[in-house]
Amino acid sequence: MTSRDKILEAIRRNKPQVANSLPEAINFPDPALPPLQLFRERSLQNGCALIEVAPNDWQALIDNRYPDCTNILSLIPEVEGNCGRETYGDKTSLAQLDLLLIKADWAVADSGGIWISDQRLPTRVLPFIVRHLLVWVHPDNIVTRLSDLYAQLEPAGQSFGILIAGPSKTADIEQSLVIGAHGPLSMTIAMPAIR
Amino acid sequence: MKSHAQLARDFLADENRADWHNETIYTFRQKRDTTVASIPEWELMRQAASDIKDHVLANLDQYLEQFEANATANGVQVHWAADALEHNRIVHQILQENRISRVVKSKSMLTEECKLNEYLEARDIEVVDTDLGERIIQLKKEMPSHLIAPAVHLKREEVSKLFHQHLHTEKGNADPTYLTRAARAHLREKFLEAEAGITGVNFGVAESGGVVIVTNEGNADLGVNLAKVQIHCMGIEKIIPRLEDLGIFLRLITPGAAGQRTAIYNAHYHKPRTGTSMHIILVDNGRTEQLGRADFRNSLKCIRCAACLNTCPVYRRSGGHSYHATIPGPIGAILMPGKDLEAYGDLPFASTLCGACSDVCPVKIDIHQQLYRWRQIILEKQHRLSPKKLLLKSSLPFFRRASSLETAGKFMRQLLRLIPRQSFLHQKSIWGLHRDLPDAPKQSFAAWYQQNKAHDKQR
Amino acid sequence: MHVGLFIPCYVNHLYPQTAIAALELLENQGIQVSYPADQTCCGQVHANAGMEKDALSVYAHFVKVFENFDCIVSPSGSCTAQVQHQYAALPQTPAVQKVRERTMDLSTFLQNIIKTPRIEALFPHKVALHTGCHGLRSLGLDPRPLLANVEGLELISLQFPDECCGFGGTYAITKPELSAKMGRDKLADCLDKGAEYICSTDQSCLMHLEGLIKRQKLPLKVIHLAELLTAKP
Repeated sequence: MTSRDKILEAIRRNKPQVANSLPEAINFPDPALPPLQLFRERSLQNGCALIEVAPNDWQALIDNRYPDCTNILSLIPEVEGNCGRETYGDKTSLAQLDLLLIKADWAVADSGGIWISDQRLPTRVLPFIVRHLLVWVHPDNIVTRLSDLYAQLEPAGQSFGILIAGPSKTADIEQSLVIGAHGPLSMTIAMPAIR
Repeated sequence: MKSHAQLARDFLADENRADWHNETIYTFRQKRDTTVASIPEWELMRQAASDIKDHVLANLDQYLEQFEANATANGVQVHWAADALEHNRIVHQILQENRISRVVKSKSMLTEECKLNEYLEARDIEVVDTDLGERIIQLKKEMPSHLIAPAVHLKREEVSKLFHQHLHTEKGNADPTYLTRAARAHLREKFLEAEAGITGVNFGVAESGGVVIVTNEGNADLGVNLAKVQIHCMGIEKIIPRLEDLGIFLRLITPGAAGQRTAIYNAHYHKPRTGTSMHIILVDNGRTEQLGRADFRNSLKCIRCAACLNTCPVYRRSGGHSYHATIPGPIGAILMPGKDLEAYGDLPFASTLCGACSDVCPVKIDIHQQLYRWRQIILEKQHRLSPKKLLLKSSLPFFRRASSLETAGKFMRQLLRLIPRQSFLHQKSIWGLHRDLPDAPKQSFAAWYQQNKAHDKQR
Repeated sequence: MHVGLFIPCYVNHLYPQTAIAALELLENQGIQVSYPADQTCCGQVHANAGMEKDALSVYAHFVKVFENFDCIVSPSGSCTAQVQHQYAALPQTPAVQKVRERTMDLSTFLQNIIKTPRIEALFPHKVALHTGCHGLRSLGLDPRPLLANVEGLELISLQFPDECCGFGGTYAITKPELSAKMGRDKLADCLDKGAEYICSTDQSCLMHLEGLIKRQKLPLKVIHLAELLTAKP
């Protein structure tokens, strides 16, 4: 008898005889703030920086905001960057990346998190290995809470997806919060400038 | 092996340190309370999560089969391990087949439970724990003392000393940012060298065949996504039915630890990267047995959030190591006896049954009731007549007969009055060592009532 | 309405003044109160120590003593919770069910049954409230509205209001160091906040705390809720 069969057999023998059905979906109360405002508030609480960018301001923004970033990988069409495809397969080059610019598929207002799926990532390690992360969020793509995000995702055919809610952090030494554990040291949320 | 009572006494011997530990952990609890109070749907989500987990436990076989089928279709290799040893063997075999000798591992209570590190190290494989707290205790050769903050029992000076010794940081520099940056640089190298990344699993989604891993540091994702082999070690009880259930569970898992509304990284792994392999090991190791214990099976709903540890007045003042177990705190005290009643029979008594743990549990495990029920089993199995048991047994007839109890009470009160205050009973007995004994009144209430009231009532 | 007064065994023997206060408080509400003399104990000490099976005979005795009362009232949240919840271990006869439903803590009785109780008390002191854990969590007691009836009383907020005092029945003697430490921390909280008295819904917590206070000669006194609600100048 394989372990698989042994385990399944033990479960059948030991599980409760009566099963409850899955609960109905929760009818969540409306949050106090509209999604855009809530998202801004929560991502700030998570330690993100918030900026507004007009289409023509990108280069100036990168120059001003990240003066010490030499290796820039951009996955948004507005910015060129200086690292490309050759970086992806090479751990050493990846480890030297200073800045990644990427678009979020979705943003979650309640948690201040953003969702990036495989389709946007030429290699999965990118948002974790860079020193600084800049994520473009379109206000139309902000959902209220996590359950609204999952309502948008198709269970079949998932490959990889990541919810990120700020720069990496730790408080493992005497509970002192340190921003920048193993992942990015900073995370910036960029949204279109409101004219 | 010392008992919880003895280890707690050792811990309390340094009262300043115990106070520091208590205050540190209480801060977690306060942050949790504040966050939970700001989530109006908290109780709705708690109930839903509890119902979902109950439903899963009653259909666990079907959900595991569904999970396996979907994961396999995703290109993931699914393995089954009946116990810790088989789990370790499977991990080792995967590493051997891929000729891997360097591994990075993110935080996983399951691999602690299976003692995977020891097993692999004995076979010449370097295993580096990459969660900062885990790395600290790995270097210090200790067990985690907390589910989420494994090195919470250590002071910054101790970490500084440890890092000076192992990572050659400046002597005496105990600045947490400095030390964290040093660990970052040290572990970066390990990430880049490692050929396999091992993680625990927070949730396995049956309908999509993927695993979800929750961290703040980004270490799990760096490890897994730089290596050519990724291995996820998962207890069979971690299954949830649907992707949408994450909309509840991911919001319940973080507030308990330190009041976070969300983790920084919630990573969803369904398929391996091109050119790499992905393995999920489903581990039983006593879980099916616990499933068979009707009174205790709902302990399998645990999502390891640590809320019960942080709120527990005993845990805070005795430290995680006093539980001499992989899983400390109230949840450990109901899970561990199921693994080995002989070794962990003291843990259900490491509680005043104050019930604070059950109150905060995000999946509504009736922890304090289970502590109570373990006590019944332990006393039943205890053949030796301990002084406590003897005393309680022999007192029973008095508690069934008011007149006997009245006489016994009268005798006790006289005894209390007669024995001098400087005697052993008053100064050195287990009560008297710390506390004065109560003054003994001349008359019981029953006697007073008989004298003053009973007559009126009969009239 | 005929109320049966249920006095915890150790209160009967060691703290008769608490029982007398509870009786007076109930009688002041103009209801019929009796203390059945054949009562003994709720069985909690044995059950919590792991001897529930042995305690069942004590439970059965309790049910027999109290089954004919309209309400069973006790100045103890802990013993009340024991009857309400742990008597589920008995065969659920109509008598057992009735007793479980009708047993309540003194403060619950005053707040939920009497609703606007007659309380004439004067207590010009700073008081910290410690609701015993079983009362607080299993029964959801909140006697603060009752304290508002006490003239001169100043209620002090504790920093750790729901923290266990460390008594825990046999815990107090099987884990004396931890138990005493928890108690000392509770007292330190009271003293930090300037309390003169610590008031509880459970005399058992107070027995433990008073023992610590006396040993350390702390400027703090204990008082049971029933005594506080009947305090006279």
